[in-house]
Amino acid sequence: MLNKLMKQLVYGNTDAFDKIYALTSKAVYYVALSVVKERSLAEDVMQSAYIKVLQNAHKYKPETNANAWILTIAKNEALNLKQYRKREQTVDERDNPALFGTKTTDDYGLLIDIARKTLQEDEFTILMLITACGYKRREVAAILNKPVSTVTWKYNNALSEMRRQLNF
Amino acid sequence: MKKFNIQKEIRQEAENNTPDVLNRVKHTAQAQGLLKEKSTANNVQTTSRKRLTVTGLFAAVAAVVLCLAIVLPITLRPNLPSNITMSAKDAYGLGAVSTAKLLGSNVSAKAMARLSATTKNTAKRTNVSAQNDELKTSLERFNEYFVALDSFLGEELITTTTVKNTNEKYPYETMMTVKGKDVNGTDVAYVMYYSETVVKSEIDEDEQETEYSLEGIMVIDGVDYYLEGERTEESEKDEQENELKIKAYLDKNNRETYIQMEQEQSQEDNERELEYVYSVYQEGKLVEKTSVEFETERKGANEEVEYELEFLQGNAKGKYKLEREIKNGTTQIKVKYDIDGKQGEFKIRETVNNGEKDYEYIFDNK
Repeated sequence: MLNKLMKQLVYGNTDAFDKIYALTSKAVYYVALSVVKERSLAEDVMQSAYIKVLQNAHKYKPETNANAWILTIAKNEALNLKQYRKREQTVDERDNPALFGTKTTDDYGLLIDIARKTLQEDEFTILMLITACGYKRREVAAILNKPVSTVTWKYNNALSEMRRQLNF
Repeated sequence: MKKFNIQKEIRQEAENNTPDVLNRVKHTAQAQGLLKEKSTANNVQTTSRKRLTVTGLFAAVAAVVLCLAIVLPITLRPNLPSNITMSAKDAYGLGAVSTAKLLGSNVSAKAMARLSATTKNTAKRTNVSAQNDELKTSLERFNEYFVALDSFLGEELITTTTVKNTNEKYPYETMMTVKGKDVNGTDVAYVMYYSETVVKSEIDEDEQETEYSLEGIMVIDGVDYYLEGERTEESEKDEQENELKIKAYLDKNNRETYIQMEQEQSQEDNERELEYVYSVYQEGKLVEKTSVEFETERKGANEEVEYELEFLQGNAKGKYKLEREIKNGTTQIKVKYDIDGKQGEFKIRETVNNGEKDYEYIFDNK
């Protein structure tokens, strides 16, 4: 379905874009969040990633995995932003308390906040793709280009760590 | 104490906390010429508040009916949880019948004509004491959903029987008969012809996953509905998950208009969850989405059942929570709702008159 919609996107079809967004926005956001760690930054990444998707829709090869293609764009956008922020950040605690372990303002006290702070990047991504976005393990394996056994292993690790963090 | 389900909590959190940047992206993309502007955009923008309110109420009532059609017969039944754990075969039957009937009520003029006769029958059972005109206007739609779904979720549980198909008109391997009673106590039976194929079977350490595809025809009141579907069984240690997805088409050649039903059933220790999501597509566009979630928890000899319903229709969205209570021998269901930020509650009272059930919907006229 996503592949079919991607074809329509080349012609600027707004309905197709709406559907693509509905199908992928959660995954795009949490992939971005796994890299940049801050909600507001992940939101910025979401916007720039979808603009990139639209700009490059004509480059998409129909026989390939559309989910993986979109999420790779999101991850690259997130990495770019992270690099940019790293270069721009000052090392003065008063200007940038987050660097010194001060509680960030975007902590909503949710399980997702615990997960993004305590899990490794790929564990968080896998946990969110399976749990929040509803992908199956084999779909996540295809998206991340990893064996299913690795995805299962990391997913179980993520859940164990979450249980440990929550003391049960 | 209720067991804490990390996966479910995260899913819920993600549902409520994922930002929506669609409009911002579209605005930028349209400015850059990457997306075409829709000619109807202005019409949507200038839709009056009243119209939106009506849409909200309409969706609300439609969603309630969908919920009630599934929930009410179960809620009113003393042995609540029996319908929640169903076999894969029953799930097929239930899913296929509900989807096909809902499709009939939504998009088929022929089916609509057929429905209008039954709607009258349902209307007499339903007394809305709300003075809200908009709500009353929505009653017709309300009944459509009710009629579309109630017949297989009446007082009795549905039963399914499968035999090898010998009917040459339908080139499928299995014939399933789904039997039940409607709310008037009348026996109803529907027949589905289908073939199921194992698409994939994976065993990975202690995890096993099998995927099946389904194709068939559901015959309801002489109308054939083409069905396609898939089913997945996953098991891992003490957890088991089954998923079922069925699409019902009125016209096999028109794949743009259909109803999709997704059912997810999971069981872990003493907790079971069952969720139905119905998505109505017209000309390839999602026009309505409703989900009903049942959660059962066993505590010793007792079981508690919670119901939650969410719907999305156009710009309107909302959520319902249902609680069952018995007062002075009368069963009453308290429904709390939150529609587009508007919160309130109403009650549904069941009474029996001359052996026929009446459902009375009581709204506060604030």
